Amino acid sequence: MLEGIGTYLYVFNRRLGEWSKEIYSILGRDPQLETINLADPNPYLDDQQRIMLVELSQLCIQTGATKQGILLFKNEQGETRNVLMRFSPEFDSYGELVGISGTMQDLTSVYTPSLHLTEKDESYLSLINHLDEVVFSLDIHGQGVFVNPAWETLTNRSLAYFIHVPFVDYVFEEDRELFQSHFLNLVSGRSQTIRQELRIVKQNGEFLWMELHARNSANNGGKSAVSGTLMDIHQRKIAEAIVFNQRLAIENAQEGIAVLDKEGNYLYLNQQHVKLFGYENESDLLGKSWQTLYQKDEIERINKEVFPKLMTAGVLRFESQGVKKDGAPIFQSVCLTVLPDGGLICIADNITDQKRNEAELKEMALVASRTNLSVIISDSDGVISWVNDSFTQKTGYTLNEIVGQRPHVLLSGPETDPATVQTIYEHLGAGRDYQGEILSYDKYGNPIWFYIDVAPVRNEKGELVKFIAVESDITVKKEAEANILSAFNKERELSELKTQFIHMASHEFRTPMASIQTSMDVLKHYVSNNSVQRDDLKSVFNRHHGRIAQEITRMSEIMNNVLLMGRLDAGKMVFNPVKTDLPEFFKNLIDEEMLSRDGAIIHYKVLGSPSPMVIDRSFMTHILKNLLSNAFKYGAQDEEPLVELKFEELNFTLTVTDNGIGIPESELNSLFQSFFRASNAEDMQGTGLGLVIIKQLTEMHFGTVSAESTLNRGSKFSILIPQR
Amino acid sequence: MQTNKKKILLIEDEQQLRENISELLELNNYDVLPVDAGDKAMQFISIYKPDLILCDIKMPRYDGYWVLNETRKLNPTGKVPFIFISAKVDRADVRTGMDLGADDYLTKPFSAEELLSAVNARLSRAADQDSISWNETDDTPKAKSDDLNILTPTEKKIIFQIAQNSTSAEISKKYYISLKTVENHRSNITNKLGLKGHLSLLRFCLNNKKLILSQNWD
Repeated sequence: MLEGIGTYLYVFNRRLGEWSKEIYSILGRDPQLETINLADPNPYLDDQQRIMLVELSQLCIQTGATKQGILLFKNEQGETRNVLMRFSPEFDSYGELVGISGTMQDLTSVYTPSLHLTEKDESYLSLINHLDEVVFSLDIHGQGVFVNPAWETLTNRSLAYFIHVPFVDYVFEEDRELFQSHFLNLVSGRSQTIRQELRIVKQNGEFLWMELHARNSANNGGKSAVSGTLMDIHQRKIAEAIVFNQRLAIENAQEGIAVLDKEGNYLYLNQQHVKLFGYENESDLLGKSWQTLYQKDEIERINKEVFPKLMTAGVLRFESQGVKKDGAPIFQSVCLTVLPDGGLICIADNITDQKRNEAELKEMALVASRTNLSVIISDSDGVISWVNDSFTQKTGYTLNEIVGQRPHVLLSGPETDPATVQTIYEHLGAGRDYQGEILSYDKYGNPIWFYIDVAPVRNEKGELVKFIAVESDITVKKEAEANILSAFNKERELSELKTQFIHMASHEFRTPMASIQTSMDVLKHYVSNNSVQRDDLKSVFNRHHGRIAQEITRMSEIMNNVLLMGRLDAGKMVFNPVKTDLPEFFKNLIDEEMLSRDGAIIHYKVLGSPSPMVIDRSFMTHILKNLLSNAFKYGAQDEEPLVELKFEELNFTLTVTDNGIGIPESELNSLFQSFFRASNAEDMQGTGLGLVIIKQLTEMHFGTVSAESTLNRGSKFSILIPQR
Repeated sequence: MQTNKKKILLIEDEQQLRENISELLELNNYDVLPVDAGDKAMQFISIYKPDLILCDIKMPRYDGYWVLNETRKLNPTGKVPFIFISAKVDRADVRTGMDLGADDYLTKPFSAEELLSAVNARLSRAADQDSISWNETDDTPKAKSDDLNILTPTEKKIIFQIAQNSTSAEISKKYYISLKTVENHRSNITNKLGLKGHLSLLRFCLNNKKLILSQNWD
């Protein structure tokens, strides 16, 4: 298309170039007469230009990329020609670099528009060449026709590369489309002038913001279709972008931001500030006074308290209560900054929720500290960090003694169930809450029953941060429960005792009754038999009379013990202590006992120095009779029981020893329970009441009973009665 | 005359009652061996060969159930009528006794009439059945009248009483001597007759009852 473009091909292994006839014509040579060899010294290029040519070609070979440059050739007539030389690498089918091809284009006529201007005004050209703005013109295809040196200064691009290169190549990609349409508008005549802010890509790849002004210049004649200027607006654009971003930031800030003039009217409000007060558009408040957003009292306060301080400090932070569009109150934290022109910057943060939370927290803290419930806060490891007053009062510990401790170390005591403690720790260790009852102890070891409700507290990430335990004192309830239980147990015990008593009585009475009945039947038999002699009858009668009397005595003893037991249980036995000569008192009792036992023998010893002692004689009679009854019942047949009375300074001991069947060691502790019968005495007659009665009567004397026994060797019961 | 008498083994630990029952039965022509403990009863049973057993349940060490079991082991071919006498009146107790194979159950207290009719009824029913066969396990020597002549007059009185089933306590009362003296005499008699062991004298007396009672030592 363009005139005067020649082509060439240089293949390395042939060491020869092929030059098209256009090149010969550019150089003004006749191809018939000579062969061009540009690499060697030649008449077309001076040495400097030749070296440039060699360097360009070598650069092309080294990089494998197209390189171009404008070289000054001399033609045969000695005229200098500006020739654009392109070097392109040539590859064979294997991708091996085999040579260089290229074009040569004589730009002499188009490269020198300055000449065009020069003709008009040299000084004008000089002016253009020294302008800071880029002055350029493009042809109808949008390729460069002219550009002044400012281009090179601003873009670092060679002036030569502006010429015949589409200008759009230098436009930043995003701005190309708009530029293309502007350009087409110009060349087609739709627009006479265009203005565009666009980015030009510099040599180093960075872009430069420039303002393009261009107009159609086709009418001026010459090659240029469009000419214009490019002005460096980079700094301004960058500054604008920063301001834009700042504005964006302010606009989207979480805080309400407003600017007020010195009269206190709003010049600017960001979205948040508008929303803060329940409005929808900035325009609702623009130009209005800040006082529209506050109530009278608050306005007065701000005027009186806030502004004077603000004027001296320049910046002031305070809390204030405003009114929303719908009349609802809004709590805000406000920061005011005085501007040089007397206006204000106001940054407001909505703290209504925070205020509400604070109020709630205050209330809750008050509740926690005043409640009767004990509140314990511990960290995630279970170490106590806070307790309320109720807890310190309840447990007797001070806050200092508690903080840093673990609850179970502080509160556990002898009867605290370790399984419960473990269960609590297992629950809390797994981050679960726990409710239950546990026996705790205060500082002084007094037991407290707590119902505890422990809940783990987590942060927003779900991490365990602390535990809050609320403990209610249920000691009274537990005691009531225990009382009810014990009353119930006592009731049941009584009922069992009653059953046992009925059982015992029916059984114990049956045998003596059977004896009495059979004795009577024997007597009846004799009486109805006439053949019996009077003397025989008399002896039979005496024998059976004795038996009946003995059985009745036995039944009375049982009855007496039962009655005694009943009166003891009902608390109807009156302790009536009397000063008594004990050795004599016991001797009489023992004599009586021996008589009633058909002359059985009871050994009696008095030890120590006798002195009068105070006893209830009736009680002591029961004690000895019961002890002797046991000694005979469980004693060995051919051994007599031994009664010892031993005096000491402040007490006396009554001991009854037998050499009988004894009591199994494991049963010694149960001896004094109602109706208890030792396993080896189970099948013997007995009420199981004797020892119980002995114990109770002894205790009414403030004394103690003790039993020593060896199975099959005998038993020894000792009654120790203190004197006061 | 004595051969016709039905023999009753009475086991009751309560002395008064034991003596009364014994007396009632003897007055009604029964031969009674009263014993105060279950283990003693088993020592005599195969010598005495009772026609009926009257037994208390609640006794120290060996109770009535034990006696019943032991008895049933001794004579598997025939059944000695076995009557429990007990203060245990619960249905459950009665049932236990009957389940174990007792023939009757007398609850205390009881009248002579009740006792005798129970005993009679059991004996007459037993008479219809096969005779009871007692295993002869006795090795106690049979005595001749000469053997008894080596005893002193007091010892003769005492062995006469023992053969009549009197206990040491009864003997001591009858002759106004202490229990210890009675025991000493018994020990001497046992040695003189060449017997060994505490109960061997009783067994000897049972075995030679007719002989001893037929002696006219007064």
